[in-house]
Amino acid sequence: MKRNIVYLIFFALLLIGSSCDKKRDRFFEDNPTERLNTAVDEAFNILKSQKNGWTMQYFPSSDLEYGGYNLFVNFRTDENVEFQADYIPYLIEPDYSTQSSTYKVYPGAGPILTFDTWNEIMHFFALPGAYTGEGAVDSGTQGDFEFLVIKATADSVILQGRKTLNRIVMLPIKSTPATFIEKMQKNAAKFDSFEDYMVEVGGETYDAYFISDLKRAFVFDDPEDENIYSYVYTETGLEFYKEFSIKGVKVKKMTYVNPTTGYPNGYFENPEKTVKYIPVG
Amino acid sequence: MMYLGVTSCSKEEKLDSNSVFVDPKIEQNDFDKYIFSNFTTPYNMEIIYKYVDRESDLDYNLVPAPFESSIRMTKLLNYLGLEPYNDLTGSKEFIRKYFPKLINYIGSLAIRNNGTVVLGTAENGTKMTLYNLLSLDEESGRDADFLTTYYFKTIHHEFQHILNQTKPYPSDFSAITGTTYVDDAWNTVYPENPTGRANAISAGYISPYASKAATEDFAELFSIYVTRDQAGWNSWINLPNASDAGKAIINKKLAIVKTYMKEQWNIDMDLLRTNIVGRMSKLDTFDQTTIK
Repeated sequence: MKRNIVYLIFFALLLIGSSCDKKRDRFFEDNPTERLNTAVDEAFNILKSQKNGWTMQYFPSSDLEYGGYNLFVNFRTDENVEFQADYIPYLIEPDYSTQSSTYKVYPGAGPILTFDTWNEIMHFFALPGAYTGEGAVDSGTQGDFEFLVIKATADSVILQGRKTLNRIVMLPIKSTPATFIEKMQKNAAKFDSFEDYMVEVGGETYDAYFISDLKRAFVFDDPEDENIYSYVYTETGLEFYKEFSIKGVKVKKMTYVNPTTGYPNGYFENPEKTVKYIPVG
Repeated sequence: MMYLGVTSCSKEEKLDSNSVFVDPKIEQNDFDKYIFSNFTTPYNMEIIYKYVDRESDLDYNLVPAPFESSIRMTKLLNYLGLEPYNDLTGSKEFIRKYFPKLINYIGSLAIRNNGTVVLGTAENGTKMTLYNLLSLDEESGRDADFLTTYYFKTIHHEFQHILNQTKPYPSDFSAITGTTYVDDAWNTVYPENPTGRANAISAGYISPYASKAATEDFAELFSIYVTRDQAGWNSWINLPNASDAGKAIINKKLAIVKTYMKEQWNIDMDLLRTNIVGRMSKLDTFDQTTIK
């Protein structure tokens, strides 16, 4: 009995001791909800603020095997968005047309940007393979159409795909959109038209193999190297999804060099001029 | 003393009456206004035509419905799905009381990894999801067979579930082929092909899916019957190699469904069918796009 009383007192002391935790100082001035609502408003306003629209460097699938695409996005009103792209989805008429639909920014784990009515350019990558002939019949190219806004400034918007967790970068279009977009589309059509590419690095030449007929992502026939080198075209060349080590050389961006006698289709080259990515035919 | 020690630190704080999350204020567009005045006000119904992740089945890779197809679907839903019941019951009260309150549109079909598809689902009588709005356009929107196959058979099927969950059908229905329902094996026992369907009819099932369970059987009989005329019904059951014994069982079951609808809901299924089929024949002139 005595022991029980000792236990009881001990327990009571514990309770008293722990029950009055003081409120900790706040790290931020506003409460989390206010900060989230502010972040949503800010992201919404930044997206709408670029009258020329944005270039979205979009990568479907967390494995990146379908490559990267430039989607030209213009948030025209509070509700409506227009898409163009440097690729042609299978059903689209006419080629390279502008497709309109709706969008919304709403609070979730942060501001969430969703493209919430059908837009062939955006949702092509989210369709099951039964529709597109790409990827598995039920999952297709596994692209996102809902994104967490990680950062939103006038210079760039960083998104994260909600399913793939892929990092998607949006950059403002600085020059005349029609001219810029046409140039990007022509570049992409030219580079996509080649079936075979090679890589020159360290005095050696390697065949690069596309994984899907959407191209824009290659692998080497090398059991030691399981990288999927996924890239998106830029105004001057191409940019990989992340910095890759290609046969020991770190590469993120490449510039396109016009055809020469030795390279009749031209080639892409890193700034250090140590790696070439060469369209062969 | 102990009690005081435990409770002395609780302060009273009032809850804020405002919601913590504020959706961006976007003005209602014309379609939103149309839904509000034609569905929300008369039927207390909400139509989600913009993709909302938490309302959608995350087991599938789905895409949003096209805006224009959503307008067509909404007008067709009223025309072929709701108004026939209003006509038969004499008011909007029946639909307001029993029809699902939440309708969710999806662009793609829900495709399983074996390639089979889901056309529509209903949850607890409160929510109905319609898939495949990507296929609904000016041409298919006038095609009664297409609309029936992909949307309206499903809509009437799911609605029937709600009705018989509200007022049960007589147990002698379930007893007719009570020992031969095959549950989840329905699409392997009776595959969706002419032979599979003929075998289903020979076994007394109006469709392969009807062999799943008595509740599905009941809903299939109802929805297949009211969405086609007598000639359409005849060609549905008179498949080559389908036995007369099976057809007799189907007719016996159908009679119970008709009696149930008449006695429990005061709805004559033949009049309902005439109404729906009559509306289908006017699809060529039905305006599917005007929302102002």
